[in-house]
Amino acid sequence: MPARPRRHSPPRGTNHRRPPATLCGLFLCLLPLTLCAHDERPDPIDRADPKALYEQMIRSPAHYNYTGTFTYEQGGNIQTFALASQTDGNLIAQSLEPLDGPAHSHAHRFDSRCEHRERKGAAQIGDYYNFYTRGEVRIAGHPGIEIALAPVDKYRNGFQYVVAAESGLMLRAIALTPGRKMVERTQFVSLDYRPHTADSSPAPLASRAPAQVACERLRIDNGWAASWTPDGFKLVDSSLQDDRAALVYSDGLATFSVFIESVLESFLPAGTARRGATTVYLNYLADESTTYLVSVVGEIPFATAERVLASLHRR
Amino acid sequence: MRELLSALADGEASDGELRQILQSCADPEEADPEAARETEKYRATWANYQRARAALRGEPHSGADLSEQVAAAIAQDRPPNRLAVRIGHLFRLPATALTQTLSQKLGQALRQTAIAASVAAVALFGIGHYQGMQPGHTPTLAATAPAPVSNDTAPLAQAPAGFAFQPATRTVSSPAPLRVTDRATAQIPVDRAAVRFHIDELVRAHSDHSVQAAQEVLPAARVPVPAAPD
Repeated sequence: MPARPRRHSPPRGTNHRRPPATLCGLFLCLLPLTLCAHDERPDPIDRADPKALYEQMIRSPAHYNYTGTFTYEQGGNIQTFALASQTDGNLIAQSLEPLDGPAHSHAHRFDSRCEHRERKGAAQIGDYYNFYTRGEVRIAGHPGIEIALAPVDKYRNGFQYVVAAESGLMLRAIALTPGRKMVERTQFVSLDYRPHTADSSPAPLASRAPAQVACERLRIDNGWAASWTPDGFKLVDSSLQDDRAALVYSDGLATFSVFIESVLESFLPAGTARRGATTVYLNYLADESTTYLVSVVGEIPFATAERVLASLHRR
Repeated sequence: MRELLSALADGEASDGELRQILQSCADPEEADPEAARETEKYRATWANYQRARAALRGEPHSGADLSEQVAAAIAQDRPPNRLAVRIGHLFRLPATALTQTLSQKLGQALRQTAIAASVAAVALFGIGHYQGMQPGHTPTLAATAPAPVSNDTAPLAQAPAGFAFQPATRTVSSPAPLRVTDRATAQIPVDRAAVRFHIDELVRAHSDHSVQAAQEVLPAARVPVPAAPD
């Protein structure tokens, strides 16, 4: 039975007076200031538009300082992490620390102004993923809206996110194979956030992160290329380090790396491995004189990794 | 086709793909000899899966085809559809016994068996030598894989902080001059620690790329936690 709205009446015996006009005037004067203080917050989210929700989600780390704990589940295992994120509106510093097992931490710093950032907006990845809104979900005490990014082909995984209704922060992320099998789930258990202010600084966290935030990364031509990648995957990095060549491809959402190293003998068996959404495919390529161990690692289906490996060639 | 079978083995085949697999297995009587040989190869692969399942459950492999089990599961008798007829040829069932119910039940059975087979492949990886499950390759899984997964193989198979590793089931064609080497799937002594170390290192390197690309630190959660020093 729905609760009847209760009428608020002044307690008996109190002298209930109208507030003086000066108080009302003061309130009206302060109102614009109150509104100005919220200028830094992102625009209200259009709950029906999954692309707007996605955009909000990938931008929200530049709008809020937040800390929380989340679980990462894959293959029947669960790991808990503490995450802290601080920003000054442009630079974002994040640290990640597992709460189970041996203690260690990972810290990083990003610049949200970097034009070339590989994580693309909804408009850029819209050709490769169909966006849907799935409904309202409450996670870690925060109401959220679930969106689904379904791949348009069988060469990439699908993703589902729960976006916090108020902040736009990600509350849950699920990765699914093209056959819609869930392979990993990241979900916040607790999350505290506040809008960043002009004087908030990512410095405390950034002290543990690399000092440099380079928008332009040095890309070294290592002589290798894949002649086939799924539509939309572009080469975003290439390097050569310790005789191991690496190529990194991204479609704006998923990323995979290709590692190539010459070996004297096949010391590892060819095969595939999986941990959550990350798949590993190892095999050998050979030319007249050299055998190469090639490894494709990324958040892509096995079949994609295999086909990429088969298309590798020297330029 | 082999990709589809592999997807099935990975438990990643959709209903549409399953249908494609079954439809690709042409009727041996009406198709050309090449297609008949292909069908025979798929049938051999499928037999391997059944042996793997038997091995995994510690049951002796009876040699009975899955089709007999499926036939036993048939509860109703309706006129066969075209897909059902093809299933019949694939699993040597009389066409009169086939129904649309069969194709659904078979779909479920295929998935369950394929998943069990892929788990068996992980168990196989724990033995001293790796042999790929190639079509046409004499199946030795039931003979060589210990039925219960021994404690020795458990860390890799269960992979609490790392990966479950499955042997490659396919060779890949590649344009000259590079070729995928045959010895990749030949017998290679498996050093589990080396495999694990190599994969962890790759995933760590990939995670660094991914953290940069995604502009968030969350992909770092995918990196296996380093083992505590002994």
